[in-house]
Amino acid sequence: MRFFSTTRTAAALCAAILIALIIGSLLPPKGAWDWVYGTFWFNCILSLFCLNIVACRIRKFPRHLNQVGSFALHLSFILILTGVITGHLWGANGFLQIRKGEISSVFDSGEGPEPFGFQVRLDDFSIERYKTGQWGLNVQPSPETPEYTIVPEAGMEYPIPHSPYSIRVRALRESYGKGEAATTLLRPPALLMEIRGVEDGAPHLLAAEGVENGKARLGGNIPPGMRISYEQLPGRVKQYMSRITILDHERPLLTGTVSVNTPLNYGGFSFYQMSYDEKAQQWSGLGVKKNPGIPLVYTGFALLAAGITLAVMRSLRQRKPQEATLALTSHREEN
Amino acid sequence: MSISLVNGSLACYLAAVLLYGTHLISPKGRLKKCARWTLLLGLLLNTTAIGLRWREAGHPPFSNMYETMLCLAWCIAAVYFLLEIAYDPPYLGFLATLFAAFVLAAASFADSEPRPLIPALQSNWLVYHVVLCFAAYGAFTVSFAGSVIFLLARRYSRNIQIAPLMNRISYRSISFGFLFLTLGIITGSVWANKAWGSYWSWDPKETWALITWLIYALYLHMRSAKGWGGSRASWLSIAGFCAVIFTYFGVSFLLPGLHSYLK
Repeated sequence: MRFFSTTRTAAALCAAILIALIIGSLLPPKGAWDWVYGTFWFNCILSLFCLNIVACRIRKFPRHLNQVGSFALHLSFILILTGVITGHLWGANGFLQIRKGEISSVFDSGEGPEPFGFQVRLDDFSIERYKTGQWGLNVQPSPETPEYTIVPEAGMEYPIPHSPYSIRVRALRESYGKGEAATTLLRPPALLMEIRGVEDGAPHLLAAEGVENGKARLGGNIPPGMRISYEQLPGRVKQYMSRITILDHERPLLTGTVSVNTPLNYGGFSFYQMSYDEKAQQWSGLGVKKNPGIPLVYTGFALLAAGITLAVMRSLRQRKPQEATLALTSHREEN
Repeated sequence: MSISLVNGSLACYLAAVLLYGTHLISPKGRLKKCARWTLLLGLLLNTTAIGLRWREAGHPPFSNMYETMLCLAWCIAAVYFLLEIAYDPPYLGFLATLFAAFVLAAASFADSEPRPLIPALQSNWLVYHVVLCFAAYGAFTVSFAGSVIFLLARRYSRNIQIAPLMNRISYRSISFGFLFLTLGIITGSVWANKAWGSYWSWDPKETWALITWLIYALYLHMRSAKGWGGSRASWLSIAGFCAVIFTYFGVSFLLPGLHSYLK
């Protein structure tokens, strides 16, 4: 017991943990877990360190009010460790990839499917994007070809891939303060363009102006089979969210939205928005966690915050003669 | 507009460095007073720059290297300013303002284009976590400067009062820094649990924050339990600051992880 409750033991264990942490941080994530963080020896050192803290605190049980902060701070580590062990033993951790309209009663724990005890249905998935303020031409020359996006500039000509066409931008008016003479009668965002390369030889002039349902109104002579629109270009992803319903044998129990930083909790499980189908947005990737140790960990955090605040305030209120003694000690040790 | 204020703040910090440096060579009360006012002006400009950046970006300005460096320079200057009012320490002003100016100058090399927040950063915890961590970094920077001056003063200075004063300032600065770092780690863990369902995932940034925390915990324990003061404590303080540098810069550029958006 005495061996465990010395500062020297604590310093040695602390040094060992520091070395392990430095090595672990320099390894790739999988290697770090396999060689350091997930190993028996590392967890032994951590456990011994916590035992050391317990032993030290038993020896130095607070007898005065001004020792309460330090005691609480050290006690918090025990609470946090208990919470970690509880979560490890009785918790669950996995992933659920689910398509729109699909119902699932299991999630992938990494070692196989694990049941929820209820069903989860993905009702909808959506992405919200920032507005860029920039407008672009979306052109699909024929139903068999993909869609291309052009950011137009006045006076430029843009060939359209996989087609004999090109688009020449005659004039552009982005806003009421900014535009060319040819577009001043048009409401911004306004665009005057000519589609070239059409077989019939007729002029194909198009004008786009104003905004209706998020796109500019387009009028003119569009070649047959071509789809063209002038609309605001999507910006970076602002948020992505899944609307899910929790079911019990097809009976809905709870409907909620899961987004990044806003998980949904039900039946001891928490659902986190982790990923999504970037191409077609047909599936959503939800992290699934169950951790009964969280209340203990959070209580430990609160005790740690309170304890360290009290301990630091107490140490800073130390009278000058004590610090002078300390300072004198520093001179003595050097001389 | 905020960039102009940043440049103004940098100019004030550099002027303060010059004034504190001149005061070292020719100690005159007026020079130090002038330096203090210049530092305060720099701090006010830095504060306004951060506020304007918040308005320009449309979100708390703590999402990339440029914004966090503005914050760090502010924290270093603010911590030193408070210590100067309390202790009026010699030599420390020169080093502390030099660090603040260096950080602000280095910020000019970072990408300053404001960008919208990615989903992971859209949370109030961003403000609490980052502000607490950088307040800690500011305090640790000043304590590092104090430790360096302590070691130099013990070796080269005949003034026997400087070393104990620097020792005390380092200790107090580290105590505050340790408190803020602990709260910063706690808020980061709570936020991580809310965002990803895991309060600790051994991410390099998390691991190095823990390394920094352990070094300073060792410092505080060695001082209180073993009576460490003087050189040993100063070297431990310097080791802690090296860990702070690696946590902030080293991890961001060298070790990929969840905090990589600081690049």
